[in-house]
Amino acid sequence: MNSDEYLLKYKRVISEIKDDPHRKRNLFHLQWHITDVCNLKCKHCYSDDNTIRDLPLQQLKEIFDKYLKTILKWNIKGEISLTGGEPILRNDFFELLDYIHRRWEENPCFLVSLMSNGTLVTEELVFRLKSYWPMLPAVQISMDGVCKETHEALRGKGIFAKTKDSFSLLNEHGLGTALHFVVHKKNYRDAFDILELGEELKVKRITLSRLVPEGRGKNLGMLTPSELKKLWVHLSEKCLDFYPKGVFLARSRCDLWHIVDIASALYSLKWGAQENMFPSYLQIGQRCPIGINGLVVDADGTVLPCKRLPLSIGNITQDTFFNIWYSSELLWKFRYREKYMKGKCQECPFLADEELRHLCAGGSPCISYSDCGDCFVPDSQCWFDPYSKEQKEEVQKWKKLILEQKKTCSS
Amino acid sequence: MEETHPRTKENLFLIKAEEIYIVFDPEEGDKWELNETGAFIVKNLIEGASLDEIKDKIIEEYSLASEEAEKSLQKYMEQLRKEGIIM
Repeated sequence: MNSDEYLLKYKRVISEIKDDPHRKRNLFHLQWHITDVCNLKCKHCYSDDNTIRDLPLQQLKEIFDKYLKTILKWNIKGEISLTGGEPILRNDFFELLDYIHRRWEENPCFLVSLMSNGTLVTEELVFRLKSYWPMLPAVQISMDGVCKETHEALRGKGIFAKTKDSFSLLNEHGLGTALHFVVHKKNYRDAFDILELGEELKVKRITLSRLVPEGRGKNLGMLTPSELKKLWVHLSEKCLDFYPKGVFLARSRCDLWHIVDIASALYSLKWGAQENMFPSYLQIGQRCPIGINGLVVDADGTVLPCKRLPLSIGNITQDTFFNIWYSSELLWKFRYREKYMKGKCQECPFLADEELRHLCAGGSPCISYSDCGDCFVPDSQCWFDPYSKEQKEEVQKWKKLILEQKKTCSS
Repeated sequence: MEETHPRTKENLFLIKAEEIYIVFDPEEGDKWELNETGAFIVKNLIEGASLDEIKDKIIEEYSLASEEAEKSLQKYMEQLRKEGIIM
């Protein structure tokens, strides 16, 4: 499909989707690793350390209170992703959820989601999780292969069927499910069929992350730019057929989705910029959100800009979110990333152009950092060539046609 | 000037973040963006300088006449009070 055909199809599909259950605007996201304990030893895990640094429940409650105070002060919505390790393995997991839920009942200004490996989900657990609905509307489960062989080679033996059953259990009880897949050399082939697996498992959202070669995943093998391009093109074309079935591929991430089809990315940028006009899950491309709308708190309270970027910017047990947010030099550098990016990014319209930089501004810093220890060098998996006259002209053509046209039509 | 040593809200932090100055309360999360002159005044207030001392520093730093510096300082002080940065 060329850009014109793809854009037409994309516009038709989104015009058919009226409901927007996943709309997320003006929120502050907290990815909260409440435990280091895990029952799996996945080969791609960014951790290769077996140290358990878990904080006692009382401290977790205090961290939550600090988070709540922050979003209330900023008057924005919150979204907490509870993860680990395997978060369910904390003995006081439900005590923490009860505490959070009581606060939610007083002020429902945030949502909670659970990120799990799906191996410990039982009917009893799902019943309990359902009792927190609508505060906790969905559970994300990791799948790293579409078949038993791949999934178990990466995550451990005897868990493929169990993990799939977890999706069914959650769906049966009315909890939303999302699937997360980390793509690299060892599961590359499987990734092409991830949408079909999503449909089979009735998941609402599929997210693909590129491997960050850290920890145990150091030697698994990152995809080359051309391998990534092939996969992204394939999934981008196919995902439009899955939207009407309720399976959404999350492409609004800093993972270079925008250069697969520039026309549609610009179209989504234009309409996405208008409040309440465009579902966020249909957006294509996003600049890395570090320093913009979220933080990560690790099991010992260490605050990170992103879990995939292992650079501590404080410890929340001894500090406030306000202080870390405003005084971290690293976060400020990310907010002005266009000043610091090096190499080909400085020539790229997706950084140099003030409007277009919302779609990228330098790809994923975690990929760059793990690759060469510098967050501000170009994403090594990016295949866009800003020195190519042809590619630059393609961007300008669509910018003129889409972003610069008068905003007279409706979505 | 009415007060010689105006007090700022307690525990304020002033930082220069790339192109802007920010003064914030790390406990309560109140935050204000300031221009260079505002930041200069707040920095001196946080450090306990008196208004006369700040006025002298403004004269020195920005090469202003005494009257002009006083006028400018008063204008900023009103604004800082209005914003709640000064108690």
